[in-house]
Amino acid sequence: MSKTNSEESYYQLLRVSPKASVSEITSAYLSAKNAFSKDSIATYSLMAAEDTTDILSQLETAYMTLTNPDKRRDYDKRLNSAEIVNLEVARPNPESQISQETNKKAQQTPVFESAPVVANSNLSESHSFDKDTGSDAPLNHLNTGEFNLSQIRESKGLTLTDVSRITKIPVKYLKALEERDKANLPAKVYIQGFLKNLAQLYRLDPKTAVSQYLMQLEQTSGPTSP
Amino acid sequence: MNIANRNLSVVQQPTKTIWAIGGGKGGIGKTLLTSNIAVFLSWLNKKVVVIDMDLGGANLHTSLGVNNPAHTLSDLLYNRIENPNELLQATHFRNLSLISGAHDPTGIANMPHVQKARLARKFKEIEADYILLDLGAGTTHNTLDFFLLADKKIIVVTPEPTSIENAYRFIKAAFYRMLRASTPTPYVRQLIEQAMDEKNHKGISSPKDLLNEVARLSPAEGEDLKNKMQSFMFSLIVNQVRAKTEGDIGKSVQIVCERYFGIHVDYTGFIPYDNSVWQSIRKRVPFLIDSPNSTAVTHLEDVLRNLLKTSPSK
Repeated sequence: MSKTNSEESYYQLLRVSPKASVSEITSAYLSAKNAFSKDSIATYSLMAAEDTTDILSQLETAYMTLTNPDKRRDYDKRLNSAEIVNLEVARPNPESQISQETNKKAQQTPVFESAPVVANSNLSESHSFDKDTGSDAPLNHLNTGEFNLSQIRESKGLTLTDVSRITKIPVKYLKALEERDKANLPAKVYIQGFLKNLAQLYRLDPKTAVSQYLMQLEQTSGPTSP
Repeated sequence: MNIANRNLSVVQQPTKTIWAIGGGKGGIGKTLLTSNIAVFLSWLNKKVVVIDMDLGGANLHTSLGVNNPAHTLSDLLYNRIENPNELLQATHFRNLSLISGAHDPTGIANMPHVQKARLARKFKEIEADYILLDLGAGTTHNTLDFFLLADKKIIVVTPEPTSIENAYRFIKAAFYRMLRASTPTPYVRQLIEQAMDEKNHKGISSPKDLLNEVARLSPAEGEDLKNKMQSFMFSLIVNQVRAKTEGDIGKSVQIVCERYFGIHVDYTGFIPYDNSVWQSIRKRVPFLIDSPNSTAVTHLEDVLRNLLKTSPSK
């Protein structure tokens, strides 16, 4: 069986975030190159020479692409476009179609290899949603004069389940966040973390999103969680 | 420098944490590191018990400078003592006790499953903040099971091909054993058993291959297996490093394990080769005590800090 995975993005291959700096990419590339080098004792008992050669070649391509600003921009565009195609298939009836799509993908591609490898792997999915709706949606979404998470989500054509799947935030907290249901919201530090994730997904400025949401939350009456 | 006063600014661990120190190969410093880590933890005002699980080849007592322990593991195993706390042998270090395997019969290494399960239950009755299991070499079921029992699974390697090769074999064996024990579906268990045979006809040579095969047959089972894989994690220490480039082997093993096996590795650092270490072995005194200002101690402190930072892998 193959030891390499052509489905991986260059970011996954190098185990870096899609937002990684050139220095982070270079450092990751050098470590990986060292690990898979011909005389590496970390691979000699595990992998055949052709497998390590293949990985080294992929690493080289990934590194050359991601450290060149023009090539990286083009690559990111292609990466996002590919993900839009996947999402469009799932779009007509998100609640039912997404699980079908997940199953289909699992059948077509190995589960492990399609699993997110990098810490911020959800970002690429957020980019794809951004393509549909235009970037940097205003905070006072749909001119309602308030920061309405529910409206922003719906304008992206996403269900709570979709958002939960992408961000890994439990639906109950997403619901509580949208309804500003203080009794069911977690501690402030978690709220801030969740909001930053959501801001990434919805292409909002995280700082502004957090501060505006918390300000509105303070003005909301109701019991707080114990 | 008074090491005991060094500020480790560690994260508090939950009550009674079991750490297992293994690695597949003999002579790589597992016992030496276990004893020094144990002393270090005891200095943090933690009640520490080290248990010599190198069944049939025990010598942790020597590493800690303890002569002829009154009671040993076999007393518990053969019901001569019921309460494991009665086995605790005091050491020269406050807060640190030992359950020795000194002079235990060699047949103890082949304990049947019932005895093993009883021993595991008895470990939970031990009054301690940390229980450290010093495992023997090899990939016997008993060694693997006590490794898997631990909250924190630590693998020691040296920067030598033989050590790395044995470590991979150990990781693979432990991982498959964990999967097999936690998988109720017969055909997945069968696939795991096939994967355990490296010459299997399905070409499954790694946990990642196994996952691909299971996911191909059943996406739901594949997802379940993936979750189990993601929850399996071990910490890595590279011992006896003679050059900076050898220290990089830890990072390389981490990268290769994650890519090839799909197993998460927490690389905690390396211990340099240090003449003072083998001198301390001869004196039967932990190098932490014998050479507190050695580079080995400085690096051990870094390793311990990293071990304490990361959450239990159980």
